[in-house]
Amino acid sequence: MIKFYLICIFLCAPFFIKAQTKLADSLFTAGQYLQARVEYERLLYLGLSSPNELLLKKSYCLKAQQQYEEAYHTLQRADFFKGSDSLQFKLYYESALNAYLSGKYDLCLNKIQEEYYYLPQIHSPFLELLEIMTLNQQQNISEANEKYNEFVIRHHLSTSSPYTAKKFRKLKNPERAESMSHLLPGVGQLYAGFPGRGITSLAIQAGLVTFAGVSFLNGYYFSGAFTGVGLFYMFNNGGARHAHYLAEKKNREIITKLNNEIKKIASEVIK
Amino acid sequence: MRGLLFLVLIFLFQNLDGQSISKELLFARHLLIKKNYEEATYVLSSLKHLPALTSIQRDSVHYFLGNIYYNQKKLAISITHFDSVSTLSERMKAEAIFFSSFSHAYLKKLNMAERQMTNYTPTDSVEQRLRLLELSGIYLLQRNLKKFDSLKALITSTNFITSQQEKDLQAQYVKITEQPKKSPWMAVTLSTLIPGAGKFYAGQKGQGVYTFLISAVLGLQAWEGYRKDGPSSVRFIAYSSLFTSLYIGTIWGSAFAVKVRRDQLNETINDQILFDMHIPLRTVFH
Repeated sequence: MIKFYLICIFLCAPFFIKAQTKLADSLFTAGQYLQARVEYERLLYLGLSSPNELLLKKSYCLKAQQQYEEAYHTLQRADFFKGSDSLQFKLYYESALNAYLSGKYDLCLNKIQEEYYYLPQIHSPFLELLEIMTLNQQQNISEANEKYNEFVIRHHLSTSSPYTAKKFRKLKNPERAESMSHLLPGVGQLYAGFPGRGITSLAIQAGLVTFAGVSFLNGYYFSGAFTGVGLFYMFNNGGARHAHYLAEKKNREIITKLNNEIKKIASEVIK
Repeated sequence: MRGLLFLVLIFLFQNLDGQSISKELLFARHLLIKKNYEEATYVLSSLKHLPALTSIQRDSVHYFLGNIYYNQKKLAISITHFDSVSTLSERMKAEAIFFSSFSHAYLKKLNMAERQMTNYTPTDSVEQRLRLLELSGIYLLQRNLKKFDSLKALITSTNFITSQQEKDLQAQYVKITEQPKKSPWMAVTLSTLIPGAGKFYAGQKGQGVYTFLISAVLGLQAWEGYRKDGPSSVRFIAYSSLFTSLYIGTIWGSAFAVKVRRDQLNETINDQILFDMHIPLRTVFH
């Protein structure tokens, strides 16, 4: 009789674990992410279910709440060598994705490389796409281009490469923009793709040089030196720094557009 | 036998469901240790209003919430929870009072911080040393050097937990007493004679030199305009106006620079005092 009761008790345990997991999952589905996180943590604390799966689900909650960095750190609590291949892949992919979304591109690439190394049997277009986009974000355009070409061949895509488009071909060099503006005021801004600002900068600096010249010619040496040359020096330095900033801004715009193009093309494969 | 089975099932149910209050508190503690503050706050907040909560359990809820908000640097709300811990839980209460007092000191509510420490009766020698150290820190923050002196005799720097910080507080005391007392009027006079000299005197040496150079540049251009075109020329009026504005601004700024510099020095000293007050608290309670 006692044996019977004990069997009953032990049979009950999986039922309760399932009920608890179901509760957490239903909270997640209902969009009650914080409550779901608490329930997943409770299951982890009680040690009643697979920790990797629970941590993955908790990371989904955090991702839905746009707490990407926290989601990444939650996933790092998992044992990446335990569980089925598909679960391990999800852990790697979600880690990489959350690292990407939180702007930690080095960590994202690390996770992608780890996945390639430890799970070579799994090829996912999602991960490949993430790698290309991350390389773009790191401004490593040549390697991103190579990866993109491999991606196109592997998935038999026929669309033309966005990397061949003139607007995406080359990023601006902020140092070069700065040097250009030092030598020829406004040219760095023009190079960075902001002609209006380039012309304004050129006009102001030309005006100051003219003022300095006219002042010297008329014997106003202090005004020429301090107002003309002094202000020209300040505007020249400021303009050059501005050109550096504008080149960086342009690069960010180019990369965002490039990644959007890649997403569009890749959506054909992912469909 | 059926009764036994029922009891075992109830136990198992509670164990798996984790709904009992004490288990929830343990779970909240686990979340706190894992630094899952949002989750821990949620669990504790849902427990807070349960009528079945015993006084000790209620104290634990406030104690944990106080710790969570303290770790998140939300000191005002942390104080509310620390102050809600009753005297029933002796150890929790001690920690709550010390941290609440420190948080008050951090938030510059020094009278409150002092009151909490003076009203508290330590239960052991460690707490006694800690209380003395905290009070010394508070008196230094208040710049009440007389009261600090009165505690000096009691501080013997023999306890390893507080000895280093006691020495540091002594050093801060010396810094406060030897702080140079600079006069804003002196700064104004100096800047009236030589533009920027008042700022230099106040301790803002770079700004003083910079202001002097800019004033000289504008002054020379005004002089040039006056010499070549006379007092009614646009050039002279423009540059002399700029020079005058800068000159008056520098005089006013010099008086202000003395206050700014003094505030900066006091802020640095206060930060160090608060740091010295905090270290032993962590050592003793965490």
